[in-house]
Amino acid sequence: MRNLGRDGKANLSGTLAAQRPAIAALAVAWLWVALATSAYLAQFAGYVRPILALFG
Amino acid sequence: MTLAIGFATAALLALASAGAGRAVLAGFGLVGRLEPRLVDPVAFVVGVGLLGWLTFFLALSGFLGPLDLIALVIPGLAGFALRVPRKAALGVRGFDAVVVAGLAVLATIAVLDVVQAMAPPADADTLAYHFALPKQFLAAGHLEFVPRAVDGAIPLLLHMTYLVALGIGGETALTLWAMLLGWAAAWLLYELARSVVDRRWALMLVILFVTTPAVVYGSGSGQLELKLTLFAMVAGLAVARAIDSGDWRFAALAGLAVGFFVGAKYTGLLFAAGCGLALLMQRRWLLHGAIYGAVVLVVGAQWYLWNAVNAGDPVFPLLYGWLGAKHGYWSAEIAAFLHAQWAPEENPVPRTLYWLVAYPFAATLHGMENWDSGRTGLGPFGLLALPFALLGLWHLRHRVAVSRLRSYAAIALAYYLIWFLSGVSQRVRHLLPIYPFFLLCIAAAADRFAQARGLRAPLYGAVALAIVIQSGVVAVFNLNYVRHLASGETREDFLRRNVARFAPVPWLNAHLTQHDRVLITERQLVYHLAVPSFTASERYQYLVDLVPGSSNPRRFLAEIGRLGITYVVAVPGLADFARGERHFETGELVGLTSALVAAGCATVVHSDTMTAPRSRTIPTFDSNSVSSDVVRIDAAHCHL
Repeated sequence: MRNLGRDGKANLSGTLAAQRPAIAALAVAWLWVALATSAYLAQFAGYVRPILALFG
Repeated sequence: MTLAIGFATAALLALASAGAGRAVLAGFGLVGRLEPRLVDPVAFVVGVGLLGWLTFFLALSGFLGPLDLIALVIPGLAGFALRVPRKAALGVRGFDAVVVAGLAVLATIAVLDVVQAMAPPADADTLAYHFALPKQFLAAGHLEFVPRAVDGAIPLLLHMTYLVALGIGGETALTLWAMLLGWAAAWLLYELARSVVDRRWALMLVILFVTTPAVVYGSGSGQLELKLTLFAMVAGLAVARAIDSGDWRFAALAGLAVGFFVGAKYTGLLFAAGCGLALLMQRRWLLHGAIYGAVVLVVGAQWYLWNAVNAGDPVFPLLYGWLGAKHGYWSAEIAAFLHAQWAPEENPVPRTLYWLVAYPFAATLHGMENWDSGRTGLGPFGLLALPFALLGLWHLRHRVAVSRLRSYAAIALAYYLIWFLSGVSQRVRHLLPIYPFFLLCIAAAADRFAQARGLRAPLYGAVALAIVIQSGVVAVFNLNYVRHLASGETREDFLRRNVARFAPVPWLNAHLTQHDRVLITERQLVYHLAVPSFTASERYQYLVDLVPGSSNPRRFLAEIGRLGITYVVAVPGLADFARGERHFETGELVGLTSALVAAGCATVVHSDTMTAPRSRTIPTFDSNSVSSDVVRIDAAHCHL
């Protein structure tokens, strides 16, 4: 979507403003993925050393 | 040579199952009514069920020689003479970079699974009964009723297919067959997924499925839950088609698949209820419900009748309060004791509305020991994709009622509700039969939403993260087996490392004969014993009364005498027991054995230190050790 200024040229800030909800949705989605992955992995914190020892 | 026979047997069983299944589908007139890509995987599943179903009658009649079993299997190959519609060939355009990478991941996992299948079985439940019962029936030459709760008097339809593999091709055939059944589930999932998502997504779902920790845990062993997804997926597909098309033949196919599930595990009864509810909530509910019910009854009843005839209770010993038990197999005392012990162990959280909703989250984020939900849980994908899927569901709410996935969702939801509220074991792997439906529904809903809102990148990122994490689990899990194969480690050394408290087995195998019978409490030792055994327990059997408080050595001697027991493995050893050391569920047995030794009715003939690893996969975790004595019974010089 392109926002046009009075001179008919593309208005960058207007374009960004129009895309703000989509960017926010992307940010929230990525944040969820990061947080949920961390929360899942946190329960296995005690496994890191024993697993590394397997390969050492 | 053994290896070649193993591979040949597994291949023979696979082909015969697929052929027999084709014949059944053709008989129902369903070959032309399924998409061509679904015919072979569905036929394979039907053939596997049929193989297990027919083997029951062979075992009952005492025809369990290798030639009998081969004669049972071979006719299935004739099914390939039937014509089925050809699948569309996959063009080169289907192989983009993602597909090629996905196939490479799957091929690697398949190779690791074959490596695992080359090693001796080491999973505790598998050694206690999944593989031990077929071995016992083969040794006896016929079916035997095992009056033991939970792992003896149970539906054994899939175990009958294990029996065929073991009887024809030996142990390697058995482990390969168990592995193959898991891969058949992946194949069927892929073909089902292709109806609702594109090729890439279908492939990613299959990778997510085969790398799910609970699947990895069960794929190379005799554990049933992964294999049960086969019956569940065919049942779900058939229910969906019955509702969409109104064709009664799909209701019959659903009954067939559910009947196999019912015949393979008690939780099949819960699944039967879920599918039944789905079929009843539609226009042709009466006709479809009647056909479905009749087929489930005919196909699924054999093991329940077997239990009823032998013990007087079709779900022995669950209905003891109403039906009692034949031959003194059970008593009010042990029934009360088992109930008191079992419920808190298998149901760690109460059956409340809160826990009904919270269970999947708690099982994903904070594994409980008695849920097996940590290292062997369902992985992170469900949690990562959940918001996308819920928003997708809202986004598509007007189309949910006509969605092709609605039957899968209804069956999965009904099963989950019945499962959680019925009070059966809360171990997370019992949800595996509906896990493919969950994956399909959540992936389809999440993908639709992500496509519509430009959120594909985070969703695909979630898929990639889940695959990376789960692939790490696969790598760590299989390291043990790769090292075993690469190092040339002996079978005994592998078993000593991987089977808990294995120590006395080599001595017992070397010193006892086929005329002896050893009583053990460590049930994971049964399969690798080459001599007859009896698994004693204070809570699961009553042939030898070991319920806490039983302290009559005369009665104990009479009971083990009736069972022909000549040796007892006491854990801990008698000297340590006298010093006050105790082991899980063996107090009465060791106390009674000590009394026999004191009265001159038995002698300690061998001692060992048993070691149990906390994890086969991560041996650096603390192991625990306990002493043990092998005690020979010698009633001739008894002064009781």
